[in-house]
Amino acid sequence: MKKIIALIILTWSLLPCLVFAQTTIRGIVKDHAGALPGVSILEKDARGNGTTTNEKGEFQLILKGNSKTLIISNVGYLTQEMDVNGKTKINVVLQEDATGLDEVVVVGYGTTKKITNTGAVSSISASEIRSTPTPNIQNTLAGRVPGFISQQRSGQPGQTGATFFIRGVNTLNSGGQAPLIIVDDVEYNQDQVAQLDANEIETFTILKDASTTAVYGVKGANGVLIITTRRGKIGRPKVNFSSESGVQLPFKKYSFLGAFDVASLYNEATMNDAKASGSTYVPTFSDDDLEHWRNKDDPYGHPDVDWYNEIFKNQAYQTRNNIDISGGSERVKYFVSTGYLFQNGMLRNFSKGTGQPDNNYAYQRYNFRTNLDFQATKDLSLRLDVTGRIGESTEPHMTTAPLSTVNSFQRLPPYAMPIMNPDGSYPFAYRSRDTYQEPSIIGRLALQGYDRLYRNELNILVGGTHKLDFITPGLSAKTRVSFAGDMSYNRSLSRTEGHIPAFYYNPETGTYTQHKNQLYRLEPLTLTADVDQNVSRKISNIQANLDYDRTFGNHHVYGLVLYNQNQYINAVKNEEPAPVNFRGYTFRAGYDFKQRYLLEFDGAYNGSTRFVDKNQYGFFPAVSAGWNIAEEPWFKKNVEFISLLKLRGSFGIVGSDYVTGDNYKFEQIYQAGASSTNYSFGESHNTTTTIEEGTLGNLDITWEKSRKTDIGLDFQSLDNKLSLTVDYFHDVRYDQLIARGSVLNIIGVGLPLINLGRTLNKGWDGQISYHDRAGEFDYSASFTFSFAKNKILYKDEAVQRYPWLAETGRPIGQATGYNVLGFFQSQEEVDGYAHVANATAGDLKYEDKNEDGVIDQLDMVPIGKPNLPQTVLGTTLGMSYKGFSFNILFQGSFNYSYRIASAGIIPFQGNLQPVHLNRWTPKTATTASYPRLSAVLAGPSSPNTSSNFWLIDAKYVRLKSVDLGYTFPNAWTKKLKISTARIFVSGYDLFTWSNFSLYQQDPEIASSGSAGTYPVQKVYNLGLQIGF
Amino acid sequence: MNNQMIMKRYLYYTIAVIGMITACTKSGDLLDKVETTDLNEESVFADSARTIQFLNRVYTDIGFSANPKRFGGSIGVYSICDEAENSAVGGDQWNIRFQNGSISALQIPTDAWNTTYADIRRVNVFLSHMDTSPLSPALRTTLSGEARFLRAWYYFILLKHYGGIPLIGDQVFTAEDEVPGKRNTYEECVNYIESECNAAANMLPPTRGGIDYGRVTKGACLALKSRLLLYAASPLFNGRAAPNGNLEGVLGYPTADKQRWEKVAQAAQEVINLGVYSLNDIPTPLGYGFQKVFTTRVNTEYILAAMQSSNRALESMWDPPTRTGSGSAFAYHDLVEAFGTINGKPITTDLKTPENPTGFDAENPYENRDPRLGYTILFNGGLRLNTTKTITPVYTFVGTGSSADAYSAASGSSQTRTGYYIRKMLDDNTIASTTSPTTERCLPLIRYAEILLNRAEALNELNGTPPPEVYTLIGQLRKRAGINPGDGDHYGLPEGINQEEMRVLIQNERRIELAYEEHRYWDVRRWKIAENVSNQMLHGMKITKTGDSYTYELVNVRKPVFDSERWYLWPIPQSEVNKSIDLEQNPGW
Repeated sequence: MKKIIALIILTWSLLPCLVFAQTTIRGIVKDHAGALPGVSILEKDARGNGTTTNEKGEFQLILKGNSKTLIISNVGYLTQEMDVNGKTKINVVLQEDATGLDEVVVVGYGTTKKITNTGAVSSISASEIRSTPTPNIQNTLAGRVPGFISQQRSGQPGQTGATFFIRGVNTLNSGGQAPLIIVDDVEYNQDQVAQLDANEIETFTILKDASTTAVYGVKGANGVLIITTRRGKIGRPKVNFSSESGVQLPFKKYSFLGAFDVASLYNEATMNDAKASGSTYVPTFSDDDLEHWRNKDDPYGHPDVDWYNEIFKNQAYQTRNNIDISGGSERVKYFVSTGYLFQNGMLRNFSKGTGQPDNNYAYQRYNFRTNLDFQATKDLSLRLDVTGRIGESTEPHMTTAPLSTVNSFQRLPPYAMPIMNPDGSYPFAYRSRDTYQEPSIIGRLALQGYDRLYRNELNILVGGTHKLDFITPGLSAKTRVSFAGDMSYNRSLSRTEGHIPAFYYNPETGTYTQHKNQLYRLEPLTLTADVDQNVSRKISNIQANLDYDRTFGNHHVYGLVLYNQNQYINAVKNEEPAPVNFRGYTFRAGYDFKQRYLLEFDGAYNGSTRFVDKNQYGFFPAVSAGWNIAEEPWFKKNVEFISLLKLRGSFGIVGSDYVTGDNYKFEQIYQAGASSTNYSFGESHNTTTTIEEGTLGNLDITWEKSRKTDIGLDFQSLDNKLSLTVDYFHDVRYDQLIARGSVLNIIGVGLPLINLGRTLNKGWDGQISYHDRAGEFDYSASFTFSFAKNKILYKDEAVQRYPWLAETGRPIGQATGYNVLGFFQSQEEVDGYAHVANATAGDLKYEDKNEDGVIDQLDMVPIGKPNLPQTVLGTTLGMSYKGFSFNILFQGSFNYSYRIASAGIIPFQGNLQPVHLNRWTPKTATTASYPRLSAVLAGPSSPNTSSNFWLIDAKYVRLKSVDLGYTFPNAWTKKLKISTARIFVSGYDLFTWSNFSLYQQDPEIASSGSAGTYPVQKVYNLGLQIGF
Repeated sequence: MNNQMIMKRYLYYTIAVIGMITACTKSGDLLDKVETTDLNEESVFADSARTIQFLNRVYTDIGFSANPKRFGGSIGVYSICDEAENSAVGGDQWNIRFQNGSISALQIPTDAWNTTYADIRRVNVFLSHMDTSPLSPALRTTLSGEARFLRAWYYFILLKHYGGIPLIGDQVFTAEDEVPGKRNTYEECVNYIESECNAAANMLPPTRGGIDYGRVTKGACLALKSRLLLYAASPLFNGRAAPNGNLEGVLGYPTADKQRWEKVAQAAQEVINLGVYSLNDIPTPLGYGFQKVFTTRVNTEYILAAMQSSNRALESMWDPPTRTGSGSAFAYHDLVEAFGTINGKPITTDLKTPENPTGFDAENPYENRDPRLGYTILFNGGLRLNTTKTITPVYTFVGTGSSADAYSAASGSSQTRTGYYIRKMLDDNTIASTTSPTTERCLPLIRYAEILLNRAEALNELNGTPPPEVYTLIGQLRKRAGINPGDGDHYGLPEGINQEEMRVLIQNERRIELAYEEHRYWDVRRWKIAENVSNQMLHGMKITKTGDSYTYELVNVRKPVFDSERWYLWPIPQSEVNKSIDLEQNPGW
């Protein structure tokens, strides 16, 4: 590998530099605002003769050809041709291109123009999201980028990155649904993306259809997210500094019932249970107990504590600071940036003043990036990107997280214990059930120390681009070598769980009784580095390609040939696993006639270590075509107000090589040494390890394939104020790697993967936007939509006894459960209908679907929708007036389902919530919204039994981000010798409208999640940006 | 320099770069498999030690069906019949599902089907490599014998759960093979297992010692045959018509034949004739041999055991809370009642009177009882090691000074809901606390005591009146149990009873001698009495202490449900039946 780099650098740098003395033209290029650096100046018909303007907008070019004409072009401006015959000095004023049709769109391994693009691509510039106060850039894309579907599952500092999908999911391999992520042409994973700082990013682009993803061949089937980073531009050094700080507030504060309610309801529940099972009812809490709780007159004997509010604060702090310097000359361009982010957690600081380490949730991250471009010779440019991240996240050292504890009735009912004993010692949960009588949670938070996860990343990319115009104009060669590595490990400074002194104070006798751990003093803190958690990843990648792009009169042709090889090693626990190696050849060839008729072929020929023999390589072709109707002369003549009307379509096959776990699924290996399979022979025990067969191998396994069809329309009108893009897609994923479901277990061994599964995903996505200006008032509005629905077409399922038990034909990941007909209103009704054991009046009445008089799994039907939203909508509104600017994004997700299980809802497993007050009782039979209470955790109406009563048909709309800023007038800033200064307030997830009242949880929580998920935080933020 | 020269240079450079990349990553290197393990079929069976380790894996599951934790948590087969109430009360716990009858072909533990066939495959894979194995011929014979016994063992587990099942012989299926689902008849299965037992018996030595202790012996093969034939001769299978033609002969022998008992008696006698087994007998304290046999790793009574490493498994499950156990299962009073008096007579007839001081006294119900009661069940006042390493009584009464072990009707607690805990097989020197020593106890799968009972039952069924040998066989058990010999050394067995009465006696003897050893659940089925005994209310004993005296109150604990239409055999997991048109489900499911 080293040799290659050395060779590349050597060869590039030895290239000759040639100068021919002829007519010299000097000039300066401006727009209406001033000098334009970096503008491309080319001599017409003199191949490869060109230059760019310097930071003052000046250029100098020696003419070689005969046309005496210069072509002056810059992104975002109309290209000008200028006759310079006889001149030596010229002034050029470029006009801004209002249509944006020449706008560059990033695609796989290159760029294209918006007008000639034939694929389904959506992109946004990072400047639009940079001020959104979230540490994870992917959290800002839902609702802004059509086709991007995400859910933020947690608000815990360091774990707030949303999981995301492009156009939903379309494979039965649950681990193999993630899109490919490419940052500067190098593959990243979702964890790595979550660590990028928005300040380093230039654009986000998602590739959705076959024509744009086929170049990634075997990795493209789930769509591709391409991120490009910022690079230096010619100009004087610009320093940007930004600093912002904000408060995080929980999306929703948990509310739990007090001790009196809980104790009364517990008595009610045990009475219900006694009635249902025919045993005698003995109240757990006496009237005397209840009276104390009602009057709150016995804080030690009958405590009543709101643990959530005792343990958690109302707000937490966060800050983000960035500084970057960019600029460059014709020879060297640079972008250097560094950033620091800190996020604090919601725990109160109980260790304050105790000399113990602070163990509040926290996340801090240092980012740095240096992107350098060198113009080594006229034709050769080199780049060196060095980027890294140092992350550190902390959480308290507790086996059961504080939020799970607060939710748990068994551990921490409101009457578990007082907050502190009168003598200042820590109590223990003496009123909890015996096995949960743990020392005070407050004491544990104060004294038990922290667990910390460190994660360091370093990525290096070296590359060169060489123009090969001397071979044929428009040809260039490019190489890239990159290494990415990251390492993470855990470190803990802590005491053993529950090893703190704790006492029960008896207010009647005034005596203290010791907790069963028998501790009178603290043990010292122990420092451990958890070696088992060490993870180190290495990715090395080499790419080399030839690019061709040339226009012959009305004919524009372009092409790409690329070689790509990648090695990925993911080592956990000091093991050296098999590397995931990849080699690919990518092709692209395109043609357009006057930008009117567009045609492109893409393809990739890829090989993977995951397959063998004839199945190792696969070919993934795609074709796309477009027709720019608005470029037709007859259309231009008659329909002037439409500037862009393009129909485009693509069709192709893309692949996925994802397999879970072991990479070599094609072979059968034998397994040894699992301690659960040990056996002990001998007259005295003598443990022997054993060996067994692994899952059978299948040499024939190969890629999953996705047949993608996309039809799209691009439209611009009303002087380009109105634009519309819409795409329809139809995506059949076949040859999915699944284990057969119709082979009898009599075979006695795990079945191998086989290319059998087939699913369909189809839908619509797109965007409508409008922008206009009234005087100095600019305003814009944009609406994005994504609809995606999938269906299992084939999964080798056994023939089910009833049609509703089959998964084939249903969406991937759809829940099944009982259909609830309502509450049983009387014992007669229970007796007269099929019911589960111990059901009584007030329990859920499940539909006896097969009418056999028994409620069992045969009655479970498909219920609700998959957990991933099928519809995502977003609306962005923006306006600016003089120095003021205002941007707002509403994002909504619809057509999905979820439910909470365990302590998050089950009464007396979880702490009681206001919803439990609405339980069914004979008196509230008509208004009840919750079944009768039961103290039996798996009672007849248990929320752990899947039914559509517990499954929410969810939807929500969020005020996802707001940004209000003011840029100080130049006149003021000039006096301070700074070029720009802007202050802003911004917010994230500020308001949420959702449709459920059953759960006190964030609507983006993972389905079947239990209580204790750190809630998503809303953030109010204040910031300052200064440029020098 | 002219353009051509430049071009040449570029060309060289381009070729060099491409060539370099290609050379560095020469096809075949990058995408080739990297060895991460050398364990595969070839390497395992080319190595004698690994070959043996492969067979050892088949042993690992040997006790899965009798595992006290078979159904997850601390739930074993004893918790789904009339032996013990489990502390788990959730509606989705297997003990509750079985007891209240909410079991279906969809909701049924799948281990009886999957674990068995997985191990049968392992045996077949093992046997398929014996011809080319580097093992010595003698070792090859022994190990093949072990393998064939184990295969027969797992088939028998299938047979008792489902009736006739598909026999696959020595086949090792590949992923491409059509796996047959056609069930063999009950008779074919019995004949196959019997012939495998006979074949294995001829390949195996009568005893194993040293580090091989615990491996299969000749005796185990003959003992399994005895159990197999006992089941086959029992009422459930000996003459069972099928509801439809496809199941003809699958659920049992279509026609009954009393002479099948003859083979049972013979098979049991073959084990006895080996002369290597005897009951573990320790005269003092009374019946202590019955207690001690379970915690003595090397003994003469175990014919087949699920070997364990040093452990505290049963203590931590069954011991009461004060003994740091989790009190996960509580013996039913109905089982307590089945134990007779020290005179070997039922507690209903052998009452305490001045003339009969060793009879049953309702005021002191645990005195003068069959010593096996105290070694099987921990009752109020029963002795058990405590955390300070002394032996003290465990109290389950409610009332003054009641402890964490006291009876409590509350569900889901580790306090007993029947007034009893389980004592059987617990080590006298071990409790769950990690400060106590471990035990090397292994779990019994076949005991010599069972062989004696098998023969007694067969002899009784074969003859109109019980022959004298029945008395001697049961007498041996009762003698070891510490029961008074009584007049004529009959250990309380009444003389001159008929076959019917003796049958009841033998059934009761099996119930108490083999309690908590995975017999009762299957015995009531093969005797076809489950429809009576498994539909009755099961009881606990609530003891209240007032002053120094106890009052005893019988309380209802659970009324299980048994549907005789279907519950005599388990349903084959529906997910399996769905896969093959040939695999016929058992009736009623």
